[in-house]
Amino acid sequence: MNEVMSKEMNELRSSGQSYEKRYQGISLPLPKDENYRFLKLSSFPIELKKRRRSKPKSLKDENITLKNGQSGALLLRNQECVQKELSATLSKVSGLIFTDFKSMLQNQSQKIKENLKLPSVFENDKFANQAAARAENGVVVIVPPGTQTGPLHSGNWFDASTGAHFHRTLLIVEADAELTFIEEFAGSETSKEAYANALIQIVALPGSKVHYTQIQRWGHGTHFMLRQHFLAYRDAEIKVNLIHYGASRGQVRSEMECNGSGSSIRLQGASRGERDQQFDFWVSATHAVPDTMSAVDFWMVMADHSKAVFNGNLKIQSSGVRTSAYQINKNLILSDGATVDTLPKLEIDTDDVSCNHGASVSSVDPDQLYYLQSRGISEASAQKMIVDGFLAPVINEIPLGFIRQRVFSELTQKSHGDLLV
Amino acid sequence: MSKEVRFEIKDLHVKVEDKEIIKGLSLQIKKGEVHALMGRNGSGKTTLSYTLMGHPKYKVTSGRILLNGEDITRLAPDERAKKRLFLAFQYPVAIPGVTVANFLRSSIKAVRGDEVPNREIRKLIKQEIKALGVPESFMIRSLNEGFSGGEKKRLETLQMRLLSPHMAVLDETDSGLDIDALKAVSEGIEGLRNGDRSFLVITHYQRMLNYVNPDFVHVLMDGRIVESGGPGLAQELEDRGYEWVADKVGIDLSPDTLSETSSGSLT
Repeated sequence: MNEVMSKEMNELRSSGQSYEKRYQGISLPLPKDENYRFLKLSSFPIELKKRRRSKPKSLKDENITLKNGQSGALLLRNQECVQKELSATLSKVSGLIFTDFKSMLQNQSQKIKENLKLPSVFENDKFANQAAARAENGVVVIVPPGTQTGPLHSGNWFDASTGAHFHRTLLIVEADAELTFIEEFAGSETSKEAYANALIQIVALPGSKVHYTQIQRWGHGTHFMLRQHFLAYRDAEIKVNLIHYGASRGQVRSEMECNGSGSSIRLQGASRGERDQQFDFWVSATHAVPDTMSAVDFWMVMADHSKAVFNGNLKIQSSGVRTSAYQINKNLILSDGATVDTLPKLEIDTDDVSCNHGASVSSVDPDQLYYLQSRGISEASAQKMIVDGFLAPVINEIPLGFIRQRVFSELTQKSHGDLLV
Repeated sequence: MSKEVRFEIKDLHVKVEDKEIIKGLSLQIKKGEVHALMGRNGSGKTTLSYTLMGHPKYKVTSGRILLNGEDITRLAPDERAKKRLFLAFQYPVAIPGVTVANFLRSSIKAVRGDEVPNREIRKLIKQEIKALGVPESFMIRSLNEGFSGGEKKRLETLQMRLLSPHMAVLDETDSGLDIDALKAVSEGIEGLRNGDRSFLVITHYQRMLNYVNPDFVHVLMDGRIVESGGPGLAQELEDRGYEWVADKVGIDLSPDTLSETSSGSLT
């Protein structure tokens, strides 16, 4: 190992140690803690030791397929990079980085080091520190100024029988550049305990555009924590699509920060729960400068005994004049045992804004069912069409057709619960 | 030779939330006939149309509904549709995320049978949207979401043409339409008359009957048919209103005596 690399690794190791120290120093949140009151944190195996890892195998036995024709594809299996491809066109772009976290050490720039620091909003977050301390691998993308990239796809596969999994994603899109990125978190089911924790950071520099799609379909049995920070500078646009239907239980904290005039962040979420799944979503948008925009549309469908929480928070500081923002959360409940809590909140410190929020929780509309049935469609099929249609606006935004198809097909295989008509 | 009976309602009584709305309604429609059922707001028009298609909120307490001689009173709405009964809704509901194309495909397959090849369905849809002057961009829109009143009615007419019913019930299809849309929709309906298919056109006003010519006209009042006649009856109602019929049969039309809350209450 050459001297430079060794130095970089030492730096990273030492920063990892400091995050570990911080993680250990933050006490485990209590059930009465505002941010954790919907989560049975005591059931999370957060200190699970890693079990023996199986060696990365060929891709045939997994449900992630990386297709040719994409602009780039990267597969991590149990944190080992087993496939990395970039189209011939993008391979020639100077300064474009699309790699796994470990390999990044060889190309590490000051820019990456700066952006690998935890965003201030997560400095005291136990689980963000844990991911920063323990992530052995992840994905790094840097798009140089003015460059447009086609869809890059990263599949992160977690063999849940191996216990714990820590992951980081860092996307930096430089001035006037464009990135479309699809990130899948997938994994096997397990009857043992399994724990995943991921930290996602997206930085959109002035005038850039980012479309980030996240698909969480870890196997049943996995408990997870996910922390993500979306930072938009002047005139930058970030569009986020979150699609969550895997794992047993977990919490997602998404922090959207409009940090430059003219910036905008739009987040669309779709979640579907069944059996005893539990999802705890926190979506927060902060506007600290004039003339910014954020939009949140979050749709959830819960069946069986599943449970979901949506905590929306729109924070407009006194300096955030002429902010335009909204948060909408709509929910469908398909059985008596399923529950949804929705808590959209506004904290506005200035008058010159245009903001609104709203939420609804309902069962399938009997008049919609009747209408479809009057056209010969059976009650069960009609319910399925209505539920699939409910999440379709978010699923339709998945940029790659074969992933879109797979998500549709996995979602439509889910049970549909009892009717509440 | 008398024609075969297509559709028959026998002494129908219907309750909504324990309130009787239809109070002994009887009607017989033969093959190929067009019957118009006219009535004021609150007379029971929408209750009747929803009941005929089997809405679970409307409880048939007695009486029967027969299609082609078969009792369909207790059938689910989808089973009635498969027997080729069709209801064109006054207020079709919006279903976000379900595209018109997907909905039409599912509906055609359900009613006409799964064996119809997709290619044939696509061809059929193309042919019918062209005939009705419906833009192809309709197909990728969410069902009825953000549709104007005229667009919704055109889509209802398109479905009726695609599903090729034996018996079609049109619930105030003329409401909310400007004269051009009314003409277009009426032509779509007229084009389906083939001497075999039967229609029940439920309407408040006479104007639609200028384009869809009925063989018989009936007056619905207080949950019953109180007057029946030929096409001239519609014009008479337009000219003289409903009061003379009420007087003739001894029904008080003052608002507090009407039994239905609102004909548009389901929307």
